[in-house]
Parts: sequence; C-alpha cells; structure tokens
Amino acid sequence: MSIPLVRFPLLAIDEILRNMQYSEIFNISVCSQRMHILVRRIKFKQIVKMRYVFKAKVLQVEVDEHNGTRQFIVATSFGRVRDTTNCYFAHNSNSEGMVKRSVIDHCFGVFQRHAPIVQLQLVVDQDLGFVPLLEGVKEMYMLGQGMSVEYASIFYPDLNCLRINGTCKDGDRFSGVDYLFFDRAGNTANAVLQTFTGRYLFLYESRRSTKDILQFCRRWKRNEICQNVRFLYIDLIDSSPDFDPERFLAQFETSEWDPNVRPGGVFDGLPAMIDVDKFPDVNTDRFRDFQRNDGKWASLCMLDCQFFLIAWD
Amino acid sequence: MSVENAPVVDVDEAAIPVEKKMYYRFESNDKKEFRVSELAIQQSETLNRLVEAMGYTSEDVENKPAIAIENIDGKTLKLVFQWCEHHKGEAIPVDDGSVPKIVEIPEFDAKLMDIDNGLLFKLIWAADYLNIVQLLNVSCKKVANMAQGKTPAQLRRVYLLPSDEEDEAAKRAAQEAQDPRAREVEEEFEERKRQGGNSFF
Repeated sequence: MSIPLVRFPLLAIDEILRNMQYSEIFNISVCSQRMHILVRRIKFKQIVKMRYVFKAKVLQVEVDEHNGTRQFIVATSFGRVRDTTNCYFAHNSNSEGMVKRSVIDHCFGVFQRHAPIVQLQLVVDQDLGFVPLLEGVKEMYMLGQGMSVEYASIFYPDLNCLRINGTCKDGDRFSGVDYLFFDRAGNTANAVLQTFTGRYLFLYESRRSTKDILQFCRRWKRNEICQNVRFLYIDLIDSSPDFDPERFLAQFETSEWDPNVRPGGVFDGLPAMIDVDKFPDVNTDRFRDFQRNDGKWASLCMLDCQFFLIAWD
Repeated sequence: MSVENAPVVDVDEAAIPVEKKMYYRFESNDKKEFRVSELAIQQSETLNRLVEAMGYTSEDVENKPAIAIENIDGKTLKLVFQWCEHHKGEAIPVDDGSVPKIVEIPEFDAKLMDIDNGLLFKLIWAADYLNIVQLLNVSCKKVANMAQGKTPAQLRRVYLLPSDEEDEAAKRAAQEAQDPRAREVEEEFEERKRQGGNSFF
C-alpha cells in the first residue's frame, strides 16, 4: 500500500515528517534532493543535544530531547559483515572516511542546527584519522586505555564539559573546562587540582594522600586555588590506614551543616554524562560548613577515601 | 439586596424559548448533500468563517440552496463531517511551536481512517482545504506511521518518492508546459540533430 507523499499539501508534508521517528526522518531525507529540502524545513525544537559516538568501526548518531528521552538516528559500521536494519547500515572499509563525513554533514543539516549542544563520544584507542572534525562540540566523552588528551585539546579547545575515562597525562590542559570528570585521575589529579578554573571537578581514583587534601583545603581557604569551583569531588585510591576524618575536619574552623541555610540543587543542570547517582546525599549533617577568607561559604565532607567540597554561590 | 434575600419566582421551564439547533446544508462536487450541525462546523475554520460571512438564518438554511464545496467528493466529505460531528465542541489545538506536539489517534478516528490510501489521501487534502486542524493532525500521523521500520528503499516505495532524475524530468516538463515556445525550440533542435546538422544556427 503506497501513498504519494510529495503530492500532499506542504502543510501536511510538514506534519507527516514531524510525526516520524528521527531514524525514519534520516532515511527519508536521503531518498532524494527534494526530500532532503522538505526535511530541512522542519524545526526540531525538542532537540537539546546531538550525540556522535565513534566506537571502533561504528559511528552512531543520537539526539536527546527536552523531556530527557534519548532517540537513535542512525548507525553505520565499516568492514564487518553485519545484518543491516532500517537504521543500521554496513559499509565497505574503503569508504569509511567519506561515509562518516557524509553522515555527519547530513545530520548537521537536518538535525544539528536545532541542537544547542553537541556531544562527541570517542574511543581514543582507535585510529582517530577516521574521525572527522565536528562543528560546535561542547561536550566530549573520551574512553580508552592510556589516552593522549592532545587530540581533544587541539581540535576542541572550547569544551564546556569533558569526561576522560582512562589514564591520562596532561589532564591540566583542560583546567578551564567548566565540568571536568576524570574516571582514573591517577597522578594527574594534583596538576588538575592546582590549575582548575572551572566549576565542577570530579577526580576519581586519584593518587593523592589525605595530607594533599588538607593542603588543598588550606590553600582554598586562602583563596589561592580553585577560586570558581562550585563542586569538587576527590576519590582516593588509597587512604592512610590511621586516617580519621573527624581529626581531619578538626583542623578547620567549621560549623554544623544547616540544610535550611544552605540551598540544595548543586547538581541541577549537570550534563548527563556526569554520573552522580552513587554520591551520598549532600544534604546531610555529614557536611560541615566553613568559610573562605574572602567570606565565601563552603561545605565539606571527608569520608574514608572520598572528599567533597561544595562552594555556595 | 443580597442573593439570599431575593424573591423566589416559580419558572415555567417550558415557556423558555429553546434556541433551535441549526443544521447547515453542504453539497459535494458529485452533488451529494450533507446536513451538518453548527457546532460541528466550528471544527473547520474555513467553513466556520464561510457560514459566519453568509449570516444565514434558520429559514435561509432550509430555503436557500446547499453550500457547494466544489473540490471535495461526497465520499470524502462524508468522512469529514462524520469526524466533525463526533468531535464537535472539542477545543481546537493551537500549535504555537513552543511545545512539541504529541499526536495520539483516538479509537474513533482510527476506525474512521480504516480506509484505502486513495481515500486517505483525499481526506488529508480535504482537512487541509477546510482547515480542520485536529483531523489533519491525526490523518498525517497515520501516514507517518507507515514509515515505521522502513529502509530508504522501502520508504521510496511506500511514499512513491520520485528519484532525483524523475524530479528533474518533471521539472523540465513543467517548464516546457509553461513555455510552449521552449518545447518547439527543443524539438527543432532534436530534429536538426537527427538530420546531421551540427549547428542550430
């Protein structure tokens, strides 16, 4: 059963296209120049984020909508025989560069111009020569073993959010990124901590000692370090066996956490790639309030291997 | 005087004049006549404006000829008016673009649109022409649903999408139809080529 789409009135064509899934819109937009033009007329106001995922020999494009749902647009794989579906296409390896570029350009024309945020997810162990440069990338998620972050700092210097899931050197290249997340900070934690000028910093698996954190707190109090920080989390690989959080906190002049005075919402608007689900509730009496020399208030909490600092606006 | 202190008056309800429901008469292009309630007509912006502008009284509706709808046939118009009668009194959705529209097809509409694609095509044209927003929404949703799980090649077949070459040929034909002299020149050129002439001039 068929129906002649292009013979409908323009208003109806718009309405029909608006009611399709993104993957169907993508598919129909590649059918002809005319369909491409018709699809480009549609304003996808519900899109808040475009996500390009480069993983091994697969490129996958997705969108996030205002209501929090994630929708799939298209995926292409190269050099592997795999069943294709209506939105999963296999290509010859020889055409990898060209196909990736075409898919990205096409998605840009149809969807990305409506998306305020563009996120790039990248497995950096692969040959990055086949990863075309993308326009407007503000968020980046790098995965891989022992990665060089040079790629991101050279090609995407204006990132707003970066998550690095792998051991890396030169993490301090991104000290100006507002949301910075290291899954395996290791030895780079110290350099990042010394130079960070963004707002949210997450240092998992940091190779630092509780003494270092004490030193950090003193410097922060003197307003010498992390002046703009709103939230800081440090997870230590090892803590001293005789470490006593109470004694640690006793080194500062602190007062009891007052949930009525300190507003919540510290994680509101956090990019979705930053996962805070496992964090303890920050609105508890585990936190102690203390004041920076310039009068700014912060709340801090020291557990066995975890340190939290929330600076209040 | 407060409401509580107002005198109680017995009202003879039968004596209150009840406003008579008005039914307008419409005629399709194949001369089929339909009687449609005033409230149902409100679903169509085009018809609503038309009857307002005509300013018919109850007598006019009965005595004057049915309002002709020239470009919609009886079969399609029957579906349109069935839909309008079923949804009469419902608010007409306003799309200001601020919130993404989510269209659900109600059971009645799904049954009404259980028709062949030729008639569905005409129904969408009618909904667009008569400016019946919600009917256009649900009928377009039905057409959009045909794309589910389809590859580009399948979509081409389902929606009868012309290829670039076909579009180009159609465009040329339309241009030639607009300008018959261009076609003559083209034919003359082809003829000369067949005769072996190298130059048109």
